[in-house]
This record gives sequence, C-alpha cells and structure tokens, in this order.
Amino acid sequence: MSVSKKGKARGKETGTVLKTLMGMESLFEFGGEISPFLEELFTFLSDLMPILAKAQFSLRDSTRYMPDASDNIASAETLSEDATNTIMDNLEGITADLEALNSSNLDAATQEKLGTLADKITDIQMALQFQDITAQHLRQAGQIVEAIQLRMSKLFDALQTIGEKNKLVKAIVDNYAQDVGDEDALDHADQIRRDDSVSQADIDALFGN
Amino acid sequence: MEVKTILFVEDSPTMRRIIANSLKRLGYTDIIEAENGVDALDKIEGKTIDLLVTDWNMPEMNGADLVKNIRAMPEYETLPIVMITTRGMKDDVIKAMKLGVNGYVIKPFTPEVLRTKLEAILK
Repeated sequence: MSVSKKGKARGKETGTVLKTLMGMESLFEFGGEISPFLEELFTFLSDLMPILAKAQFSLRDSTRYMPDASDNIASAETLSEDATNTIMDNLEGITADLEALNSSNLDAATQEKLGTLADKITDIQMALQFQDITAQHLRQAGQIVEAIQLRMSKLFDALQTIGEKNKLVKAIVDNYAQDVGDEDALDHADQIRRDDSVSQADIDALFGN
Repeated sequence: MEVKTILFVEDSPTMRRIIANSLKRLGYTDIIEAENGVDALDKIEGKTIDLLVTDWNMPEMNGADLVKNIRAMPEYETLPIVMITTRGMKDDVIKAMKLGVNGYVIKPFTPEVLRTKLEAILK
C-alpha cells in the first residue's frame, strides 16, 4: 500500500472515531438531560413499591372471596327459579280446578266470583315475570364479579412476578408481610366471611333426627 | 289475519310458562315452544308457522339472529314477528325494527299489552 493510500485510510479511521466520540458526547448530553427525570422516576418507584405491596395483600384477601360471591349470585338465581316454578305449578293447578268448576252448572254470581278469582291468578302469574328479570340482572352482576376477579388475579400475579424479579420489591413485600401477618386477626375475619352454610339434611344428620 | 300456529321462543322456563299461558288465554292454542334460536329453527322444520313471538337474550342463538334467519327464508318474508324482551334501549328497538320485527313488548308486560300488540300486527 502506498503512503498516500495509508494516509487516506488513517484519515477515514480518525473520522469514524470522531463520529463515535461525537455520538457518545451527544449521548452524555442526553443522559444529562434525562438524569433528573430518572432520579424522579426512581423516587416515584421507591414510593410506589410499598403501595403495591399493600395492594398485593389486599388483592390476595379480596380475590379469595370472589368465587363465593359469584356462586352466591348463581345460587340466588336457582332458588328464585325453583320457588317461582312451585308457585306456577300451584297457580296452574288452581286455574284448572276453576275451569272445571266453571264448566258445571253454576249460578251467575258464583260464575262471576270464579271469573274474578281467575283474573287474580292471572295477575299473580304476570307478577312472576320478576323472576326472569331479576335473574337476568343477577347474571349480569355475576359476570361483572367474574370479570373483576379475573383482572384482580392478573394484577395479583403481576405483582408477584415483580416481587420475584426485583429484590427491592421482594424485600418490601416480605417486610410488609411481617407487619400485617397477624394470623389470628386474619383467621377471625376469615371465619366471619366464610360461607359455612349446611343443608337441612346435613343438620338432621348431625342431630340424628 | 288468521293465526293457526305460533312459534314461541324463550329461554327462561318461568317466562315460557307465563307467556304460553297468556297466549292460550288469548285463544292461541297451537303453540310450538322453543328454548332458543337453534331449537326454534329445528322445531319448525317441515312445519308452517303464522306468527313468531321471541325473546331477545338467549343462549346458542339469540332472538335477533333468529329473526335474521327467519326473514332470510322466502316463505317467512312477511311473517308477523313480536319480540318480548327486557332490552328497552332505543337502539335495541331500532335494531329490532331494522331486522324486520313488527311488534316489540318490554318485560314485564300485562296481558292487555300483549293482546293489543298482537291485534295490531295481525290486522
């Protein structure tokens, strides 16, 4: 390679190095500009971590009762439907009896009375529409509870993942766990809120009658 | 218009009994009952219906989709259709009209409302 060619090559290398240095300089300038922002962000995250830790424990406590709430709503719907069907069965039976009575030879006054009774039965039947309407509202409420439960579970999982990956978060979460870890108090609350209902058959079996 | 056979579609067992009883009291005795749109289309195969009374919110196939399916059948292009539903928003009513529903009854309803509505669309 000739001297002039070597010189040209060196000049090119120097240009590249200068460009890199300029790039680094601008990066430092950028870093300098965003440094206060990063500090603020770090402070914000440090403040946020204990709040997230508290949220995690609250979520754990709340999500535990969500399936019960959802089941109770479904149970209310079934109970109201069963009760309404029983009422409907009886009303239809009474209507059939009234029609049978009305087809026999009766005086006008009695026939009128039977007609009035039939109208009243119709009114009761129509009022039973409430069952379907409230059942639809209950179903919607159940769907909302389930949607909230799903989102809370995801948030809860995300908080746990942060705790597993970040030592600082884990330390804060563990520390918070010690602070709120009054197991007796939690057990007491658990007993109050838990649905320990038993059927009449279970009670009879317990009493042996 | 003379109505011989009614297709009546409702998923709630309670409402099914209430509406079927109401229809019978109004003199409509030939009623094909179905639980949802799919069940309804199955049950009318090979039969002729003169009136459709349907709920909107149902599993499998809802009332709106059932109406679309029924209206797509050449023999039911002009079939009288009444929707009985809890959906009382203006948008719902407009949607039902656009689908080809002829009468719209909001739950809860009275036998008188049902009678008036049926009489109006069967004129």
